[in-house]
Amino acid sequence: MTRAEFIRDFAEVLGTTPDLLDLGTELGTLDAWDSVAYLSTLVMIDDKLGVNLSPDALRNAITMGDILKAVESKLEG
Amino acid sequence: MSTAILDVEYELGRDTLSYEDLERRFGADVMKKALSGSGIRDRRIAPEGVCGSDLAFASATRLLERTGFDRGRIDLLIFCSQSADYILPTTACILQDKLSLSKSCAAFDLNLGCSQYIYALGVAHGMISSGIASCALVLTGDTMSRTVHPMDRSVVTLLGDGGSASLLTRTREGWGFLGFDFGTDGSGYKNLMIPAGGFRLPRSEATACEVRDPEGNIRSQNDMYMNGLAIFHFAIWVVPETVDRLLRKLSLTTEDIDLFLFHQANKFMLEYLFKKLRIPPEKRHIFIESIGNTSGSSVPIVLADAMQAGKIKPGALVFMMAFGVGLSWAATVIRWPESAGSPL
Repeated sequence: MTRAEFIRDFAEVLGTTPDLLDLGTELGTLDAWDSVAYLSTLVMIDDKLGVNLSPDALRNAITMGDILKAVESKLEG
Repeated sequence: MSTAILDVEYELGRDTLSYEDLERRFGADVMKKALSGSGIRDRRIAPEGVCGSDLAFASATRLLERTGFDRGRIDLLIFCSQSADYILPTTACILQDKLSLSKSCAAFDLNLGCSQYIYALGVAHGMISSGIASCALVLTGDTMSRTVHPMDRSVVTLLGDGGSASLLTRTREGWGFLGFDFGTDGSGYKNLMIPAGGFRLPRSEATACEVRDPEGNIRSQNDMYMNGLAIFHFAIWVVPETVDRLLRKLSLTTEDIDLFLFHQANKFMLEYLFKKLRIPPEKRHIFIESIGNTSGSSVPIVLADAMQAGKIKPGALVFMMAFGVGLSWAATVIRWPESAGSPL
């Protein structure tokens, strides 16, 4: 999965369009970043990448880039 | 010798806590989100004064009347519940008397939340197949809706009340329970708990103090707390791993199984699990949207619903799995007996 594909899938989870997001987007500024979005993001990462991302990694992420970094480190590990 | 489930009955809470009721409490936007995240519209709630054991009793009475089974033959009663009638005595003892079961019947409680039914099936199977018991009544009954704060939408929107009764007896080898798989991860116990009210932290003025969490939910230490994200994460990993492990143990594949019945925690979660496990629609059964998550009763309730829908034929292979509080999980595979569902 490329970064562009990750942003596209993440935008779908949030019900928005990819051009409104980038890796620096602060998750706390997004109205849609709530408990249901957490679940959907966990599912999206598991489904598309087979990555077991910890709930803490998701909760502690400040930006979308932090989530991607956590996913990449899992894939490298 | 093996053990089979002969028949199952269930009873739901009489009242309904509807989507519209909660929309008035939390607002339209919150409920729209909650519905999309859980797939639960309405919850069945037991009226005040009705206990989990009452729901179990109603189920057992109907089951024994419908099957005509001689209650004098029952020598094992297991009541599965996290909402016992009293701290002391064990609720199963009260149910033994109420159901007019023999005094030579062993009766005890088993409390393991959502996983409890399959744990109880395992215990009953062990006792029956080893000759310690011959016929068992496995009852479930919980009123978990009463353990939550009314303004904690993370759990109020999910939980319903229900009970069930299952009749188990001996069957020949190769039928009934083919195998079990159990598991525990106690490191996650804080993710689903009622902190106060036990002996570790008795209820007090301090534990009744209400706190608002960052998402706006209100609860005290006397109420149930669920870390929904952690539990969801636990489920989407433990269920596929357990399905794989138990099927390998039995030299079976998902193609061999006729029906998969999982703990009815959340419709969104169930649909994802079915997709992840590549289980086709005809091998799935979900019964949650109109009743809610009935905790430890959800597996026998979805089993009874599948039987009523004609989805379980004699000889069918049924995979059942539950998971939750503890954290704990359990799974079994059953070859459905020929006499199931018919009067004995």
